[in-house]
Amino acid sequence: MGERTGAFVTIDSGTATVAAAVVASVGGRWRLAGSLGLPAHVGVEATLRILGRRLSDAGALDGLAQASAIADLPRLETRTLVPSTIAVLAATARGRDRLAGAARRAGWRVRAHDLASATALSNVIAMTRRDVSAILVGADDPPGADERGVVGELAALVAAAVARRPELIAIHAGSMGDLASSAGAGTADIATTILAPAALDAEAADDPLVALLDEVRAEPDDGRRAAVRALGSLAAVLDRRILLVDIGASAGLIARAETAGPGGAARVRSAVMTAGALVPVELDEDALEAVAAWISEAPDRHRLRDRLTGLREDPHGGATGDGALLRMAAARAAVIRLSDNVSWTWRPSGPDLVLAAGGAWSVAPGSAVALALCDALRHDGARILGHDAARLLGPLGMIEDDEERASTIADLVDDLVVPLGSVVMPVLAGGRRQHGEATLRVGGAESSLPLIAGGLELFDLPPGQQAEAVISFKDPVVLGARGKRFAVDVAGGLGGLLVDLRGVPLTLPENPDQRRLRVDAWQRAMWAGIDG
Amino acid sequence: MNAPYAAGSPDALELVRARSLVIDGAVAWFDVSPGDRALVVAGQAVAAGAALIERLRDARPTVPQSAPDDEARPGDRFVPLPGRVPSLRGRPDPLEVELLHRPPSGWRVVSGEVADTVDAPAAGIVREVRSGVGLTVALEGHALLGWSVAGGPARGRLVMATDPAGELRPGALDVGLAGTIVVAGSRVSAETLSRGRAMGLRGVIVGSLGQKELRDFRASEARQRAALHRLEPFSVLVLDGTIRRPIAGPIVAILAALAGREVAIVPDPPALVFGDTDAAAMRPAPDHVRIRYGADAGREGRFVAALGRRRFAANVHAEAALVVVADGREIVVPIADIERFA
Repeated sequence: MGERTGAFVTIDSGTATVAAAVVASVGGRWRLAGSLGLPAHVGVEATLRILGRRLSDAGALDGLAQASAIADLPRLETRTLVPSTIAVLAATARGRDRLAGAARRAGWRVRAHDLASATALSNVIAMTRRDVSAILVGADDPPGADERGVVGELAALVAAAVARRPELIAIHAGSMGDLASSAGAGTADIATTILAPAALDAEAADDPLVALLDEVRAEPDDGRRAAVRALGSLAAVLDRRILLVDIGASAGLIARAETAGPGGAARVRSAVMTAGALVPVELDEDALEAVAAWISEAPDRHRLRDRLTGLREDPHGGATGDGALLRMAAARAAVIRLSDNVSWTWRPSGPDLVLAAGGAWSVAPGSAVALALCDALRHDGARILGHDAARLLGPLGMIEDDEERASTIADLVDDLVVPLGSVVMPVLAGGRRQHGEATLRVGGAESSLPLIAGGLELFDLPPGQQAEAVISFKDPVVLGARGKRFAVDVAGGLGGLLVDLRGVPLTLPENPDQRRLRVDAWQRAMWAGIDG
Repeated sequence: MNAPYAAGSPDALELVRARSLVIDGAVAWFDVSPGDRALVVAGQAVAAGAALIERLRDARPTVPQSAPDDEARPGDRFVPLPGRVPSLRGRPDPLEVELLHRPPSGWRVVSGEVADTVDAPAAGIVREVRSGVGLTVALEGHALLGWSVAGGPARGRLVMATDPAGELRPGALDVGLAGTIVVAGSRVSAETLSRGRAMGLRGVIVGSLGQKELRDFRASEARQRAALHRLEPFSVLVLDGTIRRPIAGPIVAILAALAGREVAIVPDPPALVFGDTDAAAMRPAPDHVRIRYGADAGREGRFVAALGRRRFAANVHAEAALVVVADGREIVVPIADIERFA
């Protein structure tokens, strides 16, 4: 692929969707010839066959390959599997929550238990359930006073589980490994034992336990890990801070990449979480309420739960009309869950570019996706919004050589980041009805709109167009820094420029009817043909 | 890019989700918890109704007052000295318990006083027995696959109690249906399920079951189990999921053919197991499809062509299919909203 001749295909096989794309050499650069996403049941080979035929019909394969030969092109391929389940066991509730948090950030589906709140029997049952593939048992390092006396019990429980299911992987975190060995508590029976560092606080910059758990969970061609690698390359290519939110059917990925300076390597932080799935398996009242908040119809809670369960089981079915609105509501809730579960979304500063990825976004127009990202990611600043609509990021992350990956992504950046628009989101002083003005300068032309606190103002700014937005207020606001007048560079997109004065954080009306009216009004402004 | 693909084109039918209707050689999984005792061994042939598992309903860890030998491992069966173990009333001697685990303070065993048996819902051959984990049985006959099962395995005579699009009301159930598995239509309430259990039904087959009804049913089951009296098997086979739809025509045809016959519900995989080969052979035409969502949900018809990407409600662009429904109308639907039967 380094020679930029011919063509190759990218394939991202998810749990719900197969996405394939043909990338071809055009004028010495890689360009996207076409892409197609279909339900996973269609399969990779059939998807490629259909994509090849459609590209051929459209004349997009001239000189590249025959439609029938698409399947023979070199492939960059990733897979995303349904997350495995890990049973977490600790001596205390504190230790349990810390270990469970690490496992969740590493993409595992978690069942967490501790000695204090469950009997030995129920702990063994929890660890030996058929869907469990690994056990994470741990104690702080050094162990807490409340842990030292029960490490032998912990080790015995793990040994009891592994004696019944020898194929289980047992991960001993923190001081657990040493203490269990010295306690002589039957750990010799365990076939696959991994010693791991203790869990750090969720606020910690890099948690080695999370990295190890991610390593144990993921396959070498895991789509989300590959996407993280590619995101680092993309950040280096663009020299921008990028936040990726990938909402899939079985899990979500949030990742942040930034470079120290032009040409430098990017630092990437990421978390894969089942809570970030479009509809999480644990559909508790909070998860339900989070979706209900964004639905413009009056939802009956039981019916909403049934619809969301149906959506989880069949992510492609019923995706039009009300179904599309439900998906976008669920996607907003998923982004909020992802963002709230990591400490670094906005630290040390907000991203320049928010990139949406995953099958959840495929049903809605780009402008509606832009609004959903604004609704869910609340922080002051100005940022560009993009969408990896062809699902190239993961497969491009499979290019092993860093330089080659970066140069391929540099060629494809316009295809990889479909422009959704830009958002300018200031924080207004509380308790005042502030007024201001926004002026958009495109070339020599200017257009202005009055700004009123609580509003969402839209400027038409097509994809590919660059502009300067000047935002001025009578009283100081915060937009990265405190001031009354700001000039920011913005980029056009399917949603244009949004000047979002709805508040940070966004507080929806308590009254359900008012809330529905408000959500409906915002959505109608951004979703052309919503009633069509 | 939007050229239609005729029904005969492999590309076209591949786009439509295929739903497995009936499979042969289903392998059923039965949970075995620590303390439960498998009453069968791998390779053993079992008849319908044969006891598979003795299940402790009030299992708890206890300290045996005699210790097993040094070679013992968690999961092993152990016969402590007579009179020095927790009593297991109602169970035959010699008392045999399962070693749970061995903390530094010494072995714990699983004991309990109330045991039920789990019977084989259908004949088959035991494939694997894993102490404290589960066992598998390769079932004879055919399995009509569903979406989920609430409750354990059950067996009974199949009765069509209502029409496929209807909803079975509690008042329609009486003791005359004791021992049967009834087909309850598209939806059923938790109240109907509770009455069904009270009237001695063995199971209910329903198109969909809401999460609220499922939660209420499970709570009711848990309350009854806590009463520590033996519960007769009762099971709910959900064919389609949580969203209300009539039972699919090809499934109705099979169920109607099985009416009056002995059938079984197994939880994992969720399925109705039966022996009637003629019923198992009933298949709709390859291009027979059912619409699962939207205004025409539940309608069935003939798949004509895949149309490529089309615009649908709320300005959503999706792969489209042309379907001729039973009344002769041609309708265009998102291809992801239809299913065929394989």
